[in-house]
Amino acid sequence: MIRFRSPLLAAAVVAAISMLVATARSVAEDEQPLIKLLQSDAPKAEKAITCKKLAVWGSAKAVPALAALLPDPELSSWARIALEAIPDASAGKALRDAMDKVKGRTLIGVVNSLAVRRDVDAVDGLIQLMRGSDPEVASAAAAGLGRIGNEAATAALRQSLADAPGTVRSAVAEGCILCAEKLLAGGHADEAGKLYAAVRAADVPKQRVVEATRGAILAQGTDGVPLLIEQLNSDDKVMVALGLTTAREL
Amino acid sequence: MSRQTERFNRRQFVKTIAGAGALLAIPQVIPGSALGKNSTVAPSNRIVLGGIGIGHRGTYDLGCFLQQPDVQFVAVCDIKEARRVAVKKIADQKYGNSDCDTYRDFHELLRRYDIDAVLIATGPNWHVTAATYAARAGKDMYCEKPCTKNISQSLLLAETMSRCGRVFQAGTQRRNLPHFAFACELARTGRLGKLRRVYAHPMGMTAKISGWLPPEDAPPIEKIDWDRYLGPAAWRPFNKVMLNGFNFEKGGGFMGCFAENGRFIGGGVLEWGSHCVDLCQWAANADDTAPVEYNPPGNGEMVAKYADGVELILREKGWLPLGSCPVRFEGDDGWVETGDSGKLKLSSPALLAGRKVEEIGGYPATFHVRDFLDCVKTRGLPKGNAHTACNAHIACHAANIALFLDRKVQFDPVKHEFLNDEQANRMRSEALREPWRL
Repeated sequence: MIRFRSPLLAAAVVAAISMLVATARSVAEDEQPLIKLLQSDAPKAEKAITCKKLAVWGSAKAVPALAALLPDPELSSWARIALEAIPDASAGKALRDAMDKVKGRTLIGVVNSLAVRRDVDAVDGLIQLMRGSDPEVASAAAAGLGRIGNEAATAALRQSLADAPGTVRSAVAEGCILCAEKLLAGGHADEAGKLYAAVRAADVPKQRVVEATRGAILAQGTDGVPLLIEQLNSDDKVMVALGLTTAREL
Repeated sequence: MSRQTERFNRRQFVKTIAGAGALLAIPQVIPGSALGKNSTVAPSNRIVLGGIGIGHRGTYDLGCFLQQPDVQFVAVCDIKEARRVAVKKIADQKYGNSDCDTYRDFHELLRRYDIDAVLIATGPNWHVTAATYAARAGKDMYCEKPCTKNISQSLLLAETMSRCGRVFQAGTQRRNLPHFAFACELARTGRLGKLRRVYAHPMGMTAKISGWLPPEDAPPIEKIDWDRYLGPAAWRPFNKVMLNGFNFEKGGGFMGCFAENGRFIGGGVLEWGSHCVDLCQWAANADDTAPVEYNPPGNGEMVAKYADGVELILREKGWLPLGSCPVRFEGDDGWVETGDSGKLKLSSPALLAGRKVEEIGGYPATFHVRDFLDCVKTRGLPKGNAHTACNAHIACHAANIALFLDRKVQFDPVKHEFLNDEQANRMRSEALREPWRL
């Protein structure tokens, strides 16, 4: 716990924060005044906390006001807290529309939120971004495609394993592994196994190979034991460690 | 890219040196410590450790690590220059050299091939995000608590550690303290009869949304990297109080830090709940699940219920004087209560089965660090592994949601959904500030 040396400082801090926090009871208010506040000239601090409230109580009506904040680097993350949480499809559309309007870090945030929402309608746009020139955006898009993990996302990721630039390939491999995990959980072990094998054969960082090897063993069930033993007999202590960890999961 | 990234890994280094030595046949004097003699551990058997965010608590943890002969601490990353300097001084004094490297960006530390594991003690805002990036970089980790800010992050933490094959130890050191373990064992094995109630001290049962504080002039980035301090938390202007509040974003933005009676508090039930609820989960044989019903506070208590009817009771008062972080377990045939003093109170001396309380023992917390290090070597599951931490944190987050909404919520611990409760379900997750992702 923090102790303040000066009572005056403590009092000032209490007063300042009291203005900026709200209890649950006061939060549960009508949506319309919250929307109006976002559309007003209110200080950004007030708009920020309003986004939090809308994350819990906002509806499609709040989406346009929230979407308008996405290009603002100081409020974009607050707006996404609400847009990520509001279940209505209009929130996803607002994020998709923003993919053409924002760049750099702000765009990465939008991509990440679409991934959290598992927005299948964003897949085409994410594939374009994965193949774009900004490696950080492309990496976020690749990982996001992995989270969404539908057929189109999986196919695009698998293709990119071979042709993605080195700066993006690790994220592409991560996306492939996430797709494979989803396939495996859905009972498609053979398809998952092929995807794991593709990652293992690709020129990707060793940690991605570790993850794909674990998946390849688990996808085969008892048939994966020879591959497990291969890891345990490896000269590479990283792969031995992976074998030991995976043995517990089989 | 740092110079360490370009180094050989240790195996390559050893092979190269061995080859060169054979060819040149130059007489050498090799210190015993390098060969593991003189009660030291050979370099090939050491765990090379880095630190991320080593402040007050992290320094305590680091002290536990530095006591272990098989640990070599080589680098620290911190957004505060003063902490980088202070931790480097600790490490360099320990080893009698000036080798500890310092970083402001943890990516640089994580890119080092020579580092096996990291100690993450950043503050709760960063824990799960740093842990996820460390796992993706192939590092094992000891991560301070509370490890996550919401239910979704708890699930992703467990998923990521499994997928990446990493050893994860939450900083829930009481799992490895003998007196807490003994109390849990009495409950788990039926020595108390049919278990009815498990009690946890939450240390804070208030829920408020955190906003931002008035802007102040930010120090140079070399002194304080405010952008990295904020990390995954939504943007705020620089403010010293926010910088120095260890509760910043504890429990996520819905349970965030705020000042009350001159103290900076926050996190809802997470402060000690992440310890005490975790122990209750263990005692109730509930490491694979979480309570299914959570009630808002009444008469100073929050009551949650497991599917088998056992009650998890969070309360601030009513404890025996046994020290901080107390827990109590009650069954049909007896009860046990303990806390950080290391003492135990029991309904009957017979529960000790002839042992004395003093023989059971209490601190030091190095047991927990040792458990982690042993599991790094064996690839076993440490006591505070990601799966148990995930479920204990879910229980805390669900209690926080009941606290925030001020009403009963019901939770499906298989689907990880609240039943017919859109508001509660929305609070399971919260967007991370760009560019961070889990």
